[in-house]
Amino acid sequence: MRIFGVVALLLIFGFIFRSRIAWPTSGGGGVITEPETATQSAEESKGVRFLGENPFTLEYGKSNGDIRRDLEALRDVVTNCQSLIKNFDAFHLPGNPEIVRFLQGANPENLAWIPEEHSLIKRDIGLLDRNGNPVFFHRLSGLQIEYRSAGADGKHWTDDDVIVR
Amino acid sequence: MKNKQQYGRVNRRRFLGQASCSAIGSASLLSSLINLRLTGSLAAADTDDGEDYKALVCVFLAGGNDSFNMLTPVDASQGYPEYLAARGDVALPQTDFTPIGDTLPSPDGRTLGLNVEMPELKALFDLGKASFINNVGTLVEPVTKLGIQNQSASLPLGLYSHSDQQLHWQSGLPTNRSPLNGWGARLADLLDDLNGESQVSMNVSLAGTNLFQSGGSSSVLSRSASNIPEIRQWNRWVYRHKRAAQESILDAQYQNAFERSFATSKKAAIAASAEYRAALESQNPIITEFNTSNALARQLKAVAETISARGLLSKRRQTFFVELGGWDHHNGLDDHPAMLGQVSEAVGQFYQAMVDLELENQVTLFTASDFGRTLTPNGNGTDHAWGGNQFVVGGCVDGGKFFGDYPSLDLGNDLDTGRGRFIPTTSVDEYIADLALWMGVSATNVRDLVLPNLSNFHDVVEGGAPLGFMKMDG
Repeated sequence: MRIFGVVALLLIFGFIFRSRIAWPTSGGGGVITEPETATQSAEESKGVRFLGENPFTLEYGKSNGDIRRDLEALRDVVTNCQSLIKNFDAFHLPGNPEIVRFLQGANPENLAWIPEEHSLIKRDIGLLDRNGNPVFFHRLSGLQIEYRSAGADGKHWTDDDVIVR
Repeated sequence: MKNKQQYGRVNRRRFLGQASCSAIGSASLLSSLINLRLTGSLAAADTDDGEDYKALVCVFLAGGNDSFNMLTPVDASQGYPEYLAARGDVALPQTDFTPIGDTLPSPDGRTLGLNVEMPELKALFDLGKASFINNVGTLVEPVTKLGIQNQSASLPLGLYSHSDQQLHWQSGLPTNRSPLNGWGARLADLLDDLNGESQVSMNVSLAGTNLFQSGGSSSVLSRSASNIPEIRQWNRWVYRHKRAAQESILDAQYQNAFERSFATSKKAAIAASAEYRAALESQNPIITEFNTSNALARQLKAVAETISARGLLSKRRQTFFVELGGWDHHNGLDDHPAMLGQVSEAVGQFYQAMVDLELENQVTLFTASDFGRTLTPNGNGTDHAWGGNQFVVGGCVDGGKFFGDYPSLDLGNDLDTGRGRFIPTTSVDEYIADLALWMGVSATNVRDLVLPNLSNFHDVVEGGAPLGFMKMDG
């Protein structure tokens, strides 16, 4: 009985601890506002199913990260999307704004990896890096994309570009 | 959840179903390949009219040529102002283009101009030996902007991506992720029977492995522009013992199919290399001057040398593949005019070589590239788009003309899928079909074997050549 009680307490503490990691409160000068449950509710009301925490929601633009980690998080959600949405390479996805909208739920399954509202997403421009410049989605093949940030100088295709594949 | 149920679980019934489909698919493929060989003889019989010779030379501009800065509307009333407005920072001055050809047919009325860095191509156009194919690109079927917006259109896989679009241009199979062969290889399978006995392939590449010529029963002879392929030291006296050992290994009888295949291929490659070298070395050198500092000209010179040895190689049909990279101009178009100049110079010298060999009516050169590029700049250069402009050169080209519709450069028009990415108005299949027919493949075989996607655009059996830019009696 005593052991059962200890296990129950550990489960409760574990749940609280996990909740704190999953939903950290804002602060510390982060560029992005944290994912908002209100936004998710709004998306779900439009028929889009937000898939919850993922590398993008947890890491993109966070104060303790950097551009490379941001792009790696972006790559990971795109890879996840490609594994869940059949024939990713058959859709009309020329670049940043189109791919971001696809990740926000504009896909046949209405699945969303990226929230509708995000401080680093501008409508018609798409996803920005933490310096405020558009991320360039260089489509190498149907499934392989090279993600490029313009880096500190704000100019693409210069030596300080950050590139993740 | 539905997805998981549909695709995630593998049970006995599902496994058997998929295995059956796979078996049927393989059987179909095998059947097609056998048919290809059988019908090859028929095609050869259809076109066997003596000693004619024909060759196709594919000039692949890898990376996506910004062809709207190559061929551009220059009339002051409509064309150039639209160009200027759309292209912004990457627009060239009006004086950087030379007007060519007649105005586009009414009600269009625009005048097109060729980049001034391409005087050789302009001269060929004016002589009636070159024409342009406008807004050509990969398509599965005719599509509209609305169809793309509501996701009902069937699109080429990996649209706007380099490797997939290169595969589609070279295979003519835009819905296939891993095409087994290129359209050049399928064409070669149909025409190789016209060639005589020779170990040397009718497909010669100056740019290494490419899908265009690969995957058929005829292999590809790959060489560099400067060197004829040869196993290093193979013919040197000091190597004779090693050579004897190698030859005995290759001559051995192998039970393992892979070992047997490897030995056969290797022996054939060695024999082909020796035959090719001997044929080229016994020829008089090409008298035409090529600029050897021009990478494309060097490749085309090697093509001309190979063509000059066609008799010794017993060839009546050949395909060639040359490539020039560096066209992915995301970071500015500063060197683009010079690259166009490089292409023009090389093509001009190659055409002259064909004149010198008295083969200008038997050899047709055509360009291909991954895709066109966005009309609007990205701040530096331009990005991947879709339809673009190509050109063909040769004595049998119905020259001095434009084929296919040149799109309006007014942004947001019905062909613009965003940033001036134009839906092609001519499919790659239609472009290739004219070339395949000229090479002597029957319309039925073009439709059924070389370009299975063509029927979505044009009935080649009933309607003949889709674009009509080749003089078929030439």
